[in-house]
Amino acid sequence: MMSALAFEAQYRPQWEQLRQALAGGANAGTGLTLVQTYRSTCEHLALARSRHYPLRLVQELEQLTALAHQHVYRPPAMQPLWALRRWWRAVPEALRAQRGALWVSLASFALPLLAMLALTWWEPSWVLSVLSASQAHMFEQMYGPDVQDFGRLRDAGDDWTMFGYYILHNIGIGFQCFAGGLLLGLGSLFYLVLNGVILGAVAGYLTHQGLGQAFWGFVVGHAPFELSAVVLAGAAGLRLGQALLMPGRLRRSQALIEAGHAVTPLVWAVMVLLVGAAWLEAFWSSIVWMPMSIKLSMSAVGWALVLTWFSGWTWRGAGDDR
Amino acid sequence: MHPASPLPLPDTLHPVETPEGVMLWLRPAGAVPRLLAGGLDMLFRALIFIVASLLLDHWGSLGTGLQLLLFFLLEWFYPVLFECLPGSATPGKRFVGLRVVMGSGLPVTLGASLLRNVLRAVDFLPTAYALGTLCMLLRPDCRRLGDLVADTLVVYRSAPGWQRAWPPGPAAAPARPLSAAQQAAILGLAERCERLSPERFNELAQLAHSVLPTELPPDTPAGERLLALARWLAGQRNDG
Repeated sequence: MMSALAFEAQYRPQWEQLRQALAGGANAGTGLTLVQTYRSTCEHLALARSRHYPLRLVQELEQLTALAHQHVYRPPAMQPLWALRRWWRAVPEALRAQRGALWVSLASFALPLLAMLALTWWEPSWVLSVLSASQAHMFEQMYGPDVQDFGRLRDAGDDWTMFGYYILHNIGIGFQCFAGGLLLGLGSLFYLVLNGVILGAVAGYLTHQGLGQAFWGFVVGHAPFELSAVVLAGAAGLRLGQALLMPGRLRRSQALIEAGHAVTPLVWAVMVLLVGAAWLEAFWSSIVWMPMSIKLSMSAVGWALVLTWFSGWTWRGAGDDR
Repeated sequence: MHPASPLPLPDTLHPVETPEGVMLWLRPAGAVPRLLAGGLDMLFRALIFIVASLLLDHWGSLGTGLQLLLFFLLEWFYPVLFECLPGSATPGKRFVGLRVVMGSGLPVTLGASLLRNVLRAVDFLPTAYALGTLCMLLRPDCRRLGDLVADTLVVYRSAPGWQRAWPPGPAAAPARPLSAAQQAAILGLAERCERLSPERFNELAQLAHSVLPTELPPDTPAGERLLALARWLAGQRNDG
C-alpha cells in the first residue's frame, strides 16, 4: 500500500490544478480536463478514506471534491427569455395537473362569496356578522357619492402610495394563502373562505346601499387578476396540504418535495398576477370619471387574457418544441 | 484500543452520494446559528429600510409608494436575491458562515429559494418563527418547514478544521503490527496534538503505551513517541 506521504506527493499537483480551475470562476473551469481531474480526485478521496490516511488529507480532499461537485453538476445557466417561456407554459400544465386542488380552491372561495353576496344584498344587516359597524361605515365612505378616488378614504395617499400598499398587502395575503396549506391545507381553506365571505359581504351590502355603481366600477378592472391569483394561491396551498394528508405511495417528506416542485410555477404566477392587479387597482380602477362601459369591457379583456393563458391555448398546437 | 464499532456514531452529518460514487458529508447548521443569522438579516434589512426611507421621504407620495414597495421586496425577496447569487447566502448567513444548498448538495435553484422563503409565512406561526424553530429542533438535518418543501438545507460553509499537520521530527516503527483502525486512531490523536496541552497529550498517548516505539531514547515522553509513530505510519522513514 502506498504511504500517505507518497500519495500526497504524487497527486497534489492534480489537486492544485483542480483548485485553480475552480477558482477561475464559472467560465474558466469547464471542459474535459476539469471533469477528468474531478473524477480522479473523487477516486483519491475514496482511496484516502479506505486506507485511513490522516484526516487532514481526507478533509482537504472532501472539501475540494464538494466544491468541484457543486461546479460540475450546477444547473445550466438560465437564459431569462427561455425561462420565461418555460414558465408561461408551465402554469397551464400545472393547473391541469392539479385540477382537483384548483376546483376545491375555487369552490371554497367562490361559494362563500356568492352566498354572502346574495345574503347581504337581500338583508344588509348580515354584513354585521362579518364586519364591525365602523368597518361597514368605512366601506360606505370609500364608495360614497362625493369620493375623489374609488376605493379610498379621503386621507389615503395618491396612486403611487396606494400601489405600494396594494403590493405589500395583497401579495402578503396571496403568500399566506399558499403557505397556510402546510397546516394540513386548513390555512389555505381558512384564508379562501375568509376572503370570499368578506368580499361577498361588502359587495352585497354596498350594492344594497345604492353604491353598486362605484363599487363594481372599482373592482371589475383588477378582479380578473386578483381573484384568479387568490384561487391559484389557494390551489397551490391545498396541494401542499394534500401531500401531507394523502401522500399516496410516497413518504410524506418526498410527497411534500414533489408537491412543492409541482406548484412552484403557480407561486410565480400568483406573484405576477398580484403585481398586475395592484398596478390596475392603483392607477386604473380608482378613476372616477371613466364610464362603466369601458371599465366592463376592459374587465372582459382581462378575464379573456387570464383564462386563455390558464387554458393553455396560447401555446397548444403551435407545433412548438417542448 | 476499542474494537471498531459496528454502528456509525450518531451525528447530524447529511450524506450525499455523488454520481462518481463518493459520499460527501454536508454539515447542517443547528437552530441557534440559523436564528442568529436570521436576526442579523433582520437588522440589515431594518438598516436598509431606514436609510432608504430617509432619502425617499423627500419624494412625496411617490416616495411613500416606493417605501412600501421596498418593504415588500425586503420582506420577501431579500433572501431570494442573496441565496441565488454566488455564495448562496444572505449577508447574515455569510456572517455566521452558513450557506443554502439543495438536498443533493448542489447550489440552490431560484424556484427552491422562492419556495423556502414564501413558506417562511407558515414557519413564522404562531409568532416569532416558533413553528419553524420547533421543526428545526425535531430534525437531525435541522430543516424548517420551508426547507422540507423546497428540499433545501442550510449547511456550514467549511469543516471545523481541527486536524493540523504534526510538527516535524524523527519517525519510529510501532512495537508490534497495528490494525487499520488502530493506525487511524494513532493518526487522529497525532493530528490533534496542537489543540491539547502537552500534559494531556502525554496522558492520552500513555494509553497506547503497549504499541509505542521502543527504539527511541528511554526518557522520551509518550507524546513524542506517539508523534514518531504517526510519522512512521504516514510513510516517513529516517534513513530516506
